[in-house]
Amino acid sequence: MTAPALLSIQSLTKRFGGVTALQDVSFAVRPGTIHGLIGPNGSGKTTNFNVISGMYRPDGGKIIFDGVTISGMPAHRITRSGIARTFQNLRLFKTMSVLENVLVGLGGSPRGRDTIFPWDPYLRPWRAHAAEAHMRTEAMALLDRFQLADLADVPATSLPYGKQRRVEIARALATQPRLLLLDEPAAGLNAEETRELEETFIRLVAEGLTILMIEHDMRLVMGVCQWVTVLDQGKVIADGTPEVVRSNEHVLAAYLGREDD
Amino acid sequence: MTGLLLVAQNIVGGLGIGCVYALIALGFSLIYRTMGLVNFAQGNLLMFGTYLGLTFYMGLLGLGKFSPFIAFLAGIILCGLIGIGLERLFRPLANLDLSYILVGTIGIGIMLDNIANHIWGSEGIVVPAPIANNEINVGGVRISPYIFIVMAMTVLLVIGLQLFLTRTNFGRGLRASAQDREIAACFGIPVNTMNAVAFAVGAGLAAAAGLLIAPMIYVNPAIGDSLGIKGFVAAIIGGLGDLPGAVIGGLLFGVIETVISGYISSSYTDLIAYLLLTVVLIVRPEGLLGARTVEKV
Amino acid sequence: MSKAWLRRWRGPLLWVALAVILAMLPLAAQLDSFWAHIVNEMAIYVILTMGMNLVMGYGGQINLAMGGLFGVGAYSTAIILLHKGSFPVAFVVSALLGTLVAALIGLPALRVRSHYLALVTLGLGIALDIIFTNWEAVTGGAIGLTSIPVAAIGTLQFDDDTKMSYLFLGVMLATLLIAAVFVHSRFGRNLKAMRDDLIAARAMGINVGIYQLTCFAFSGFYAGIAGSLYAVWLSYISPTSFDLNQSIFILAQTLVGGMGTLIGPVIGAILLVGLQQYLLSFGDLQLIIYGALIVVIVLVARGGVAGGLTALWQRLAGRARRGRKEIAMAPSTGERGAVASAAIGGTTGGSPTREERTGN
Repeated sequence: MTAPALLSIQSLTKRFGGVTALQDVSFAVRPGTIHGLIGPNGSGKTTNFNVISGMYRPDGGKIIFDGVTISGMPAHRITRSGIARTFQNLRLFKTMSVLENVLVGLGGSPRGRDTIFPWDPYLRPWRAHAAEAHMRTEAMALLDRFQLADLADVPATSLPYGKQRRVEIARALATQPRLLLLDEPAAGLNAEETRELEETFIRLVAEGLTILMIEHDMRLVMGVCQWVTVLDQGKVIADGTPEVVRSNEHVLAAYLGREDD
Repeated sequence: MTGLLLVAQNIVGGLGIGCVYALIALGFSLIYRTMGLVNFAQGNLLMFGTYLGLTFYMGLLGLGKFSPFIAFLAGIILCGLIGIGLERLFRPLANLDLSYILVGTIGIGIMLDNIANHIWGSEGIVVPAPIANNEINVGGVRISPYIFIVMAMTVLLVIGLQLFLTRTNFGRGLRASAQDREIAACFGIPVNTMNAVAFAVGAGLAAAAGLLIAPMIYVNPAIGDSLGIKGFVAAIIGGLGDLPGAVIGGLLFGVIETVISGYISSSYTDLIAYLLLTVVLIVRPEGLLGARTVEKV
Repeated sequence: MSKAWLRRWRGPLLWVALAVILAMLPLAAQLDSFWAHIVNEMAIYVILTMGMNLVMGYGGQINLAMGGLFGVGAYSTAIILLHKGSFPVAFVVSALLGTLVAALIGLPALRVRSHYLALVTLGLGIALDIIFTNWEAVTGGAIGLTSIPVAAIGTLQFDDDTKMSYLFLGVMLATLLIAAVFVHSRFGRNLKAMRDDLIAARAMGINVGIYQLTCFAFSGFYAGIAGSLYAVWLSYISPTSFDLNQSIFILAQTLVGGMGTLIGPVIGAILLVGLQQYLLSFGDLQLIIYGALIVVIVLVARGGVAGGLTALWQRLAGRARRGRKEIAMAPSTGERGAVASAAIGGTTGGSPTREERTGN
C-alpha cells in the first residue's frame, strides 16, 4: 500500500450558500484499488464526486490526479484526463439506443478526440465513415463484455433498471478512464446482480482500472473495497481498511439507528 | 463650464438614470434568483406598465387624469398582476427545461409590444414631469429637480423591497435561491406562489422604472427592448441574481452611459451598451462583484 | 452489412429524396411568376429556419440575432454586386461573413449559460440593426440599397422569379443535405447527447461551449446564404427586413415546424410564409399572432407539427418496436433540467427516485 496516490483530495471544501457540504476533506485513492466512500445520507459523498468530476468548483483545497491539479478544470477536460463517472440517478441519453450511448462515451476517450469543427463528413467522408465503423466495432466489443451486445439498438431507457446501470458503466468505461467514479452502482439491484457487479469490478481492477465507489450496500463495500473513507456531514471521520473502519466508534455513531444490511 | 463641473453634472444625471436601470436590474435578478430564469419580457413589461400608468396620469384613453401618485401605483399594481398572470401561464413548464419558459417570454414580449402598439399607437408621447422641472443651479452644476424625485423613489422602492424580503414570510420564502428550490419545497414553501410573487415584484419594478424615466425620454412602444437590455447589462455587471449587485450595476452603468453619451451620439451609446454586455460576459460572466449565485456547471 | 447500412443512412436518404422532389416542383408545375415568387420566399426562409433550428433544436441556444445575420449576408452580396463583383463571389463572401459574425456573437456561449445568450443575441441583433441603419456610407442607412444587379452565374442570368427558383431551390436542397449529414455525423450525435442530458454529455468529454459555438457559426453560415439570395431576389434591401421582428418570425417558424428535426424547418417555413400572405391584410396584428403562436407552441405542442406527425406515425405503426431506430427522428422534448430524474421513466424494476442534489 505504499504506491503513490492516483487521486489525492487535499482539504477540499465546498459551500452552497449557507450550507457547507464539504469541509476540509482529505483522502487518497491508490492505483489499482477499489476505494469505498461511505457515509449517511447528506454527508457529502455525491457532492464530493461532483467536485472531482468538475461539475462544481471547490471553494477550498485541491484535487490532484496523477500529478496534475484538476480542481477547477471544466468537466469535459477532467474526463479526457482519465476520470469517468456514473450517476446516482442514471443519466443515460434518453433518445438514443444502448449502442449510441456507448458511442458517445467512446468519443470522450483520449483516442477519440472529437474534431472541433465537423469538417470530416464533408471534406473526407470516407475517413469519417471508416472512423465511425471502427468506433462501432469497439463499442460492440465493450457491450459484449457486459452482455449487452444483443440489446445494442434498443432505446437505452426502455431497459430494466439493472441493465440500464450496466449500460451506464459501459458508457463510462468507453471513455477509457484510469479512474472510475461509481455513484451507488448497486442501488436497486438484487443480490444476484450485485454479485455480478462485484465480479465485474474485480475483473476491471485486475486489468488496471482504479475504482472509487459510493455505496450504501455494506456487504458489497466490505467485501470488495481495499480501502474505505467515511464522510459525515461533510467531514472525514474515518479513513482506513474496511476492518478498521467498521469497528470505528465514530462511524458506528454516525450510522446509529441505521440497518444497512 | 469647467471639465470638473461637467463631469459632476454627468455623474448626477448618470446616477439618476442609473436608479432606473437599477430597478430594472433588480427585477431581472429577483426573477433569476427565484426561478433560475431570465425573464425575456422584462423590458416589454416595463413598456407596458409605463403605458398603463401613463393612461391614468395623462388620461390617454379618455379615462380621465389622476394624480401622479395614483397613476404610479396603478401602473405598478396592474403590471404586477400581469406578472402573476405570466407565472400562472407558464406554470406547467416550470419543471421542464427552463428554455421553454424563456422562449415563451419572448413570445409574450413581442405580443406586449404589439398590443401596446395597437392600443396606444406607435407614435411616441411626451410626458410632463410631475413637478415643476426648471433646471436649478447647484454650485455651478445644472440639474433638473426631477432627478431627485427619481432617486428618492428608487431609494424608497429598494428599501421597501429589502424590508419585504427580510421581514415578511413571502420575502423569506423568496430568498431560497433557485438552487435550493427542492429544499424549499421540502420545507413546505409553495414554490408556485414564490414564483408568482417574484414575477409580480419583478414586473412591478419594471413598471416603476419605466414610469420614473418617462418624463426624461420619448415614450413609445419600442422603448422596452432597449431599456430591457440595459437593465440586463446592469444586472450582469452586478452579478445576475445578486440584488445589491443589481443596484450597484445599475448606478454604475447609468453613470458610464451618461458620461460616454457626452461624446458620442445616442444611437451609438446603445451600441456600446450591447457590446459592453458581450465583453463582460466573455471576460467575467459572474459580474464585477464576483460569483455569488451564478455557477457555470 | 447492407441492411445495417440502409438503416443508418435511412435518415439522410429520406431527406435527399424529399429535397429532390421539392426541387422538381418548378419543372413539374411550370411555375409562373406569382408562384415562383412565393416558392423563392419559402426557400429563403427554409434556409433561415434550418439555421435557427440547428442552433436551437440541436445546440440548445437561442439566436435572436438571426435577423441581423441575415442582413449581414444580404448587405454583403448587395455591396459586392453594386461594385460590379460577381455573384458566386458575393455568395461565398456572404456565407463566410455570416459565419464569422455569428461566431463572434456566439463567443459568450463558451462562458455563459444559455439564458444569458438569448438576451445577448437580442442585444447584438439590435446592435447590427443600429449599424445597418446608421452606417450610411456603406449600407445606405435607413433607405437601404436599391437597384441591386441580378444574380448571374457565367452567362446564366437569374432575372425573373421562375429562373431564380431553380437557383434558390438548388441552394435549399444543398443546405438540407448539409444539415442532414451534419445531424447524422458524430458531431450531431454529440449534439443529441447534449440535448438529452447536458451534465452527462460533459461527463463524456464533450466540450459543450465549443459545440454550441459551432452551432452558432453554422446558423450564421445559413443566414449569410439566405441573405445573399434575398438581396438578388428583391434587388432592394433595407434595415427593416433584418430587425428583431424578423428574428421572431424565424423563431416562430422554427417552433411551429418542430425543433430538433430535419423536416421541421421546411414545414414551419412553408406554413408561416404561406400564412404571411394571408396575414398581410391584418397589419400589426400579424406580430401579435406570431407571438401568440410561440406561446401556444411552447405550452401545448413543443414538438411542433413535425413532432405531432411523428407521434401520429408512432401510434399508427404500433408501439412494439424493439431494435428499430425510430428514435433517430424523434423531436426533443428536452427535459434536461438538473433535477430531471425522468431517465428512469418507463422501465421495470424502478428504484426510488432520489434527487441527485440533496447533498449526498
